[in-house]
Amino acid sequence: MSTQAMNLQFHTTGGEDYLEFLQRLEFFQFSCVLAVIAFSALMLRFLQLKFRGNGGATTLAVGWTKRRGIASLEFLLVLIPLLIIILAFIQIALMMNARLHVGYAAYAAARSASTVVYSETDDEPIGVLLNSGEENAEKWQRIERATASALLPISPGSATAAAKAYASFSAAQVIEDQSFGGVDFGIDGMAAAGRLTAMVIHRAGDAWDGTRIQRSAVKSLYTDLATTVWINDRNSGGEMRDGSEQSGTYDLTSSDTLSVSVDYEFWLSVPYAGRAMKLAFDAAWILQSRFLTPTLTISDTVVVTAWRKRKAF
Amino acid sequence: MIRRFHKDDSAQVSFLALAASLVLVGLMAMIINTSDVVRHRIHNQEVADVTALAAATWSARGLNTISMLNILNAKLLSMTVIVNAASRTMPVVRGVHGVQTGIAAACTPFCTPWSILLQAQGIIIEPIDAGVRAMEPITRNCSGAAWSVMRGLQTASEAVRQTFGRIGYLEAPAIAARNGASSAFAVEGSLLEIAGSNLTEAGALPVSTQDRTPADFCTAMKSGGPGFVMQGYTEGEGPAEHGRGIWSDLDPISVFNPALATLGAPWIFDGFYSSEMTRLGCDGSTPEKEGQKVEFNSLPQCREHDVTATWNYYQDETDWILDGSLTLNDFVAWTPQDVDLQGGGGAIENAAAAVGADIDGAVPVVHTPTGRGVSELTGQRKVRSRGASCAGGGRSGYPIVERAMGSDIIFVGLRSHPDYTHFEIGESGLHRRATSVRSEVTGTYFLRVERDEREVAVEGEGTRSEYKYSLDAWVLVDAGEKVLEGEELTEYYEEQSGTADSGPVDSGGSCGSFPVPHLLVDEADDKLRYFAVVNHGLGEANQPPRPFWSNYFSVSPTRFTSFSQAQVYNDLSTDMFTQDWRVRLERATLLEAALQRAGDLGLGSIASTASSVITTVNNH
Repeated sequence: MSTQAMNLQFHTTGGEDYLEFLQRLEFFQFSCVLAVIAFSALMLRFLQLKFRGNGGATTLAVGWTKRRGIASLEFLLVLIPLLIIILAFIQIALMMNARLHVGYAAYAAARSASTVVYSETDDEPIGVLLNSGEENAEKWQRIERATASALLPISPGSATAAAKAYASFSAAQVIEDQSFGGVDFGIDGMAAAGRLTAMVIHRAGDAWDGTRIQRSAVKSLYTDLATTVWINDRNSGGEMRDGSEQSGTYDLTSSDTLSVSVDYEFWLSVPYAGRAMKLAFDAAWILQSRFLTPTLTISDTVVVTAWRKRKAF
Repeated sequence: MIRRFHKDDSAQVSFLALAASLVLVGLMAMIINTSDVVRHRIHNQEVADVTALAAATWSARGLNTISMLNILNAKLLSMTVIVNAASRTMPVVRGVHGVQTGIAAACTPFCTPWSILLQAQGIIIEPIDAGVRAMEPITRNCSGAAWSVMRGLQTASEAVRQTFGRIGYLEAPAIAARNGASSAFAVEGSLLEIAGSNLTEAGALPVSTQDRTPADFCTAMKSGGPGFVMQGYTEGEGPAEHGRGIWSDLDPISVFNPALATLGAPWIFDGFYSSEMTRLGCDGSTPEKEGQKVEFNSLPQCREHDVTATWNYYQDETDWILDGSLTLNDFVAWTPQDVDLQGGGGAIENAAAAVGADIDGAVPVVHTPTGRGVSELTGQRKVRSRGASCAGGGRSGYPIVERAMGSDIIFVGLRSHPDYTHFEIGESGLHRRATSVRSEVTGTYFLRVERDEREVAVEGEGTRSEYKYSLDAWVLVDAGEKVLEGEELTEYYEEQSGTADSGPVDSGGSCGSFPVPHLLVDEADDKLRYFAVVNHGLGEANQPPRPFWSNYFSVSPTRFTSFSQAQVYNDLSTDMFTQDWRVRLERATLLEAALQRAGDLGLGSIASTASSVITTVNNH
């Protein structure tokens, strides 16, 4: 990477250069996968040795004179933990994959914010954002559109799955807030239509395949609903990270940096393993686990230097 | 054999391990692939950003260089004004000093203190005089070395204008290539204007000397600007005013103090200074400072600043006269009695000001009444004044006046009133019917003349007809006033000094041409934006040649295309005297705008559709 490219100053919250961070993350993930594979191989080897003890007569077969069925029993005993391990690996891999996409989404959001926040629209002066629900609010809309594109690949394309996932994290918010105010069905229709067109024509061969259109539409809608962008701990609806709400415009003219975070509700789609992962990250979820499809909030933050209007001195 | 195979249960767990390993390897590949793609996407976007910024940076460098050259020319021009004014002042100072020295010597011993003081003044005057004379060959109008340097700097500005943007065009893809891009290019926004592009100007910076005059230096020389503040000048003071201030600062050492009898040299200097400035097309008077009230002299200015114009209404009439052949035109150049032509505050004075005194570089005209009926007028009086708001746009600023329609009275705007005729005072001082050029400056007036007739008995002659003419006049006496601040004040000065109707008195003459600044052209906005596109093939760039069999094991490379847009901007001022041009990334909208424009031009609905899609998925 040349020095000139690095001068754009995209950083993680820890101040580390973002591209280096990604490279290190990739190395870490790669090492984790290798470690798990090695561990699994060792475990399997260990199990094999144990079942083959005493020249073929296994300890489980003590008292039995024939070895019929013993292979099936061995297979069953190994298959169950192996399936669990494999499902868990699949889920972990998907989560890691999602983590990378959310990281890219945070980068896209930060880059968009770095240009959009300090542009000027008809109703939003330089450095000032209107809440997205207000009339002629454009800036938040642009930033959220930039974010969504990066998250489309990991969003569910099945309407049923998307609806369940959406219901799950919406209900979780309701349960958490003890009110129904947390559910938001607001959708950026314009962006969804444009995104849908782009996704449909992305692969020319099956451009007008009905299934593809439907899946694209579901992905687009789910992405809009499952994504929250925060700039310096405030989102497009005027809510703060601490739960309070701010009305009126969001003035960033005096900010030195823009800390842009993306929260994405990732659908843990692998049976059993998804629930296990959800519990691993959020033990309290066990109270809701009977009726909810598990989703996990994946977040990433990128910090970018704010551009401020210069004043004569 | 098959039966034996079924009976053989050895290593069956290893098959499971193998299956699991395949799944794990697949998952690992997915993660690594995603990571690779994300990293390359981010990298490619950053390369696109750098490419756009590289092209824009050369523009910013060029504009900063041209700003610096403009500043140097403004300083040199100011130096010529100051030195030339000083060189015209010094002979007067020397002459007066010599006369005073003679008088002091004659009245010795009574004037001994004065004589001593004059000797001290002489000691100071001599080196100043010598210094000014030494500078004369450098600053002499047209032929001095300073003028050659100014012309050289202007030529250098033109060279920068022609080259810097084009260097950016070459450098941008080179930087992209160094960062691993397979291909890249950057273009200025104006080239994406379908059917509106000027290819001959592609890559040239959006500044020009076309239609510029030396008067375009006036604001910078007098009032400075942010660029001069950056160089240490006091805010609101340009190099010419700074030089004049230095001359005034000589006052405390009593060299030119009028009380000590050297004829008030600062005032003499000011006169020559004004003369030199006027020669360049600048108003030699001291500019208004921030927060000072500015008086306007035309209705366009009145409308621009949303103020209220004042109209005076006069009535006059003649005695009963025999000659009934007078017409409206005979009353043209009617002069209100309460006007002092030598500097009073009435309509005609304002009229003279409107065509001369308030416009930089112009000479006040002599008011020339020519109408035959004017001498017959006797009973002139000012009836009232009326304010007319200029807030209503194009035709505002005129009073509403009564009009008889049969037995009814209606009110119409003076400009549309059919009974009144609109007159103005031209450059030569002659009055004439209003034209569009100067018809709305102060001093313009509307006349209405009515004639009365009577029969008078004359001894021995029977009866004769006598006539009496009555005259109504509305005069625009001022076009409002306002305290101007900030940008409004700057714009006012630019208008006043940069677009004076008369231009410089000497627009080149023996000089061939005066130096003029390179200023931004009107359509600069799109030329200050750069759009870059970068292409990168994953696995393509920087790879050594691969053996023939590698094709069997490799998939076709993934290609990434990223775009970016950068803007050249100057937050402090775009007056081209401020070296603060910078670049920044901005939301990429040029492509959408170009496609939309193509759609609007009927080049296909696909262009419009593509523009809409890009607008909604544009992740910038």
